[in-house]
Amino acid sequence: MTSNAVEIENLSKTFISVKRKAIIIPTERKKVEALKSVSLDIPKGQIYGLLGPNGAGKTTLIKCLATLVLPTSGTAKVNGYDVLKESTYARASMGVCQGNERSIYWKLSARENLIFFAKLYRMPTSEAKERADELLGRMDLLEKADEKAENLSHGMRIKIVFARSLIHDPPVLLLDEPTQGLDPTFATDLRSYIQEKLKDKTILLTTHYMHEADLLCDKIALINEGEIKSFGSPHELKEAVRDYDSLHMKVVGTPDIEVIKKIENVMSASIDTKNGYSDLVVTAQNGYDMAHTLLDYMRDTGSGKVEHFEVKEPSLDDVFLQLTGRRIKD
Amino acid sequence: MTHQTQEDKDEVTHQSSDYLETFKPRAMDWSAARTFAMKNLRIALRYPANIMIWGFLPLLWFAPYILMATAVGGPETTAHFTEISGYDDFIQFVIIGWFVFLYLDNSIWGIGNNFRVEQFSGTLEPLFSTPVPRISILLGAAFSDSIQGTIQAMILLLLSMSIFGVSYSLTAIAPTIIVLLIMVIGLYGFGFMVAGMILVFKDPSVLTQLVSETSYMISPVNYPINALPKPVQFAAYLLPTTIGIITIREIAITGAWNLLNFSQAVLALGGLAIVFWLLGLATFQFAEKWTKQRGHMGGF
Amino acid sequence: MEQEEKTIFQKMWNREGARAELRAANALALKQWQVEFSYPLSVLWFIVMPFLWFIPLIIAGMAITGGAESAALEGLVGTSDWITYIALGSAYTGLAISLMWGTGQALRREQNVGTLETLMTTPMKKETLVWGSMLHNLQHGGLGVILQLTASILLFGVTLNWWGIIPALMIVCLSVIGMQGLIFTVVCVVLVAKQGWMIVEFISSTLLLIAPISYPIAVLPTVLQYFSYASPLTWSVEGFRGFLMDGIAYSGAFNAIVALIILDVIFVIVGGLLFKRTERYVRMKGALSQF
Repeated sequence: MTSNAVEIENLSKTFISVKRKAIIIPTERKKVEALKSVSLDIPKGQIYGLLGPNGAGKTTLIKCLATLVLPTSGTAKVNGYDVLKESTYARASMGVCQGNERSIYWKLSARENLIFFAKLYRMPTSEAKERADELLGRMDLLEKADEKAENLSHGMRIKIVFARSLIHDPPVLLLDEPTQGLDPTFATDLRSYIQEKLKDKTILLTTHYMHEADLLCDKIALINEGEIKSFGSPHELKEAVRDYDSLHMKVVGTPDIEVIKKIENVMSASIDTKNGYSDLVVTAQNGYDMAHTLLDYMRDTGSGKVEHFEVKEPSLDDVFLQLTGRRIKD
Repeated sequence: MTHQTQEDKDEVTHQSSDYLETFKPRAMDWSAARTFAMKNLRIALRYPANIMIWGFLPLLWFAPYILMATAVGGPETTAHFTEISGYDDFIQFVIIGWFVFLYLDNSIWGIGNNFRVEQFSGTLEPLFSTPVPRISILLGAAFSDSIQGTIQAMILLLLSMSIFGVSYSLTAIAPTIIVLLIMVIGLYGFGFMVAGMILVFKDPSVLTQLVSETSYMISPVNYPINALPKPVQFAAYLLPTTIGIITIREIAITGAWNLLNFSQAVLALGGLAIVFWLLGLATFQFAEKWTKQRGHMGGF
Repeated sequence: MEQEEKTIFQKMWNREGARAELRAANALALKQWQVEFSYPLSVLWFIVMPFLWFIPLIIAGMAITGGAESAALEGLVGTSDWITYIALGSAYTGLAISLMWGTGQALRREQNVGTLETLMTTPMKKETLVWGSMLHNLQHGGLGVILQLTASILLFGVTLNWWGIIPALMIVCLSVIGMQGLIFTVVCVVLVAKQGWMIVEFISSTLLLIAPISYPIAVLPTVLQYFSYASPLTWSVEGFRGFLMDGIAYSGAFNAIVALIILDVIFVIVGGLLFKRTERYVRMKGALSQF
């Protein structure tokens, strides 16, 4: 057996959506390539992150591994079991946490939910109760254990979902946006739990929070339009763009981003405009020189007034921008 | 001075826009009701098979009664049935009962399903956060249901008439339309009540089923009203459809209509309609407040 | 602690097999009760439902015959006690509807609410998901049958032949096997078709029309009679009622049992194949969470 807990080889998934008129007659066929020949191996005990904007293919990849979606081609193994041919074993080997509060029963209490799922993982009632209480304790949910999930807060429900994925103490965890929409305290709790208590687990984590990936992951795969664009440790990824500076400007007005992209020495640029203010991020070899160029440009064209600027070390977002021309938040 | 600060405050707290300047709260927003009804009809048209099927399905529900009548009473309508009902053709009797009853069934299931669909698709809360009076949304839903319901009822009537070879008096058409119209207005009130109950109990499928099966049981659809025990008969008359079924059945089968009886029926239906509207609106308003206090609208 | 955690996973791993599946099915059935009883109206519905179906039939029958005897029915099936005939027929049908409708609806609900995907990530067999739901509806519908029959005996003077209870239960077992095939088919339709419940409504209404619930199939038009012979529901109702009315002296026993066994084989194979294909298709489309 190899030392990889997850092995993904040339995994592709194409969805075909058919629009129909009057029930039968297809009017439009649309192909969406959600995954394009993705390969990724995760060694045992490592945390890997999939970082990318919405629709990049992160969830499809997780669902393929979770045996919820059949890939069009390619293979994937979890804990050495092929997700297509030995799907039962693969499922038994992993815990799946989709950061979706709807994946538990709202009409049942936290405890009832966990006991129920424990039984689906073959535990007898007494053992299931014990395990549920143990996890509730670890999640600080014992006080609310008998409250129906519908009466709990969003954060607490997510904690139940998370506890559910740990119910059979699986060696592999697939965490799909586990902290999405959580308030900061809950998110921090969950992250430190992953960091401290799940050291022996192999984890594949999807997120579009860069600092989360930076903090938790041993290695990160940057994914966009179904392809892994770059791969490495957070440090390595940032190292790749270390020769560049990231210039952040707060501008009153809306400068034309297409024009800025064409300015000499601009490596990449993105803009986010809200209420007449624009956040402009530009990568360039020398951030201070670029600041001068841009200040001149905006003064000359009157396209904006710079209120504040800052030259920063590149972040993962800058790496992503550099690679894809898109920001992860998009 | 104090007056001045008050005004200042007002100016800061209200931001204005074209929309807000022309906005006035209304007790009834007819255009919103129409928009909502059109939306429902448009969605319904995406599934044209639905309307056909709903016109056809009730046939499968009442055919067993006709078959049962054949099994326990023989192929001819029994003397006992004629004696208690006053009609000598069981099939002719049942079909017209179903034709009218379909309106009741529709107003119960229609509103229930509307809510269920909106709740499941997550559009109920956004819908209720628009500044449109809730009553307009409900009425809109009711309009579209009436239109669909009428198409279905007509399909059912024509289909059953041709399958079972029964016919009805043509002179009945005008009075039938009058009775149906008043009855449908009354049913809207009934529908509001059901909608309110759905908001509170949150499980539309069980509630609508309970209400529809119970009202079916006490309605004189497959049997004359005097086949029911006395107290149940009284309850049956509280449903707007009961008078409707009896009146329309009499006119359609005998072809003769008595002005006095007819105007009494219309008056009674009108009275029921008013009562149901008042009850329905009160129930719905109460239910809405109740759910808002508990913040349960999106959940189920 | 670490050591103990290892064993949790190891233990689960070693507990493969029928017992594990049974445990999962049981958990699913129990969970369904918990969910149902958290809706205040469900309890009321549970008690009232068996009667809502049966009472209109009795009222209509009364309006037609004017009494408890029917000469026409005697001519057709040999008994003039139409109330018992209908009470037994509709009691069994209540169970069948609960099984078919209930199971289809339950999975639909999981899909709508968002828990179906989570269930699919557990190591139980996909079929167990359906069996668990069936188990719940068998309990649910079974209690309904008992409730309705008890009330029928007390209120409407229905009489049962007590010797027929065990053979009637046997018929129920045979019937559940065949129904399983139908249920798997229903589940497929519900999971795949956008307006699946309508097709299910259509299928179940047709099955009920051609089943001998409140009339013998002899009164059906000839074409429908052929369909009726091919439906496991027909033989289940006939067998169930036959044994409970005539006891072990029931003359149609052989026909009903043989027909049920044959139909069981056919329906289980067809339903099972269909389910396997559908489950693959749904995963291919990635549509588990869509509706």
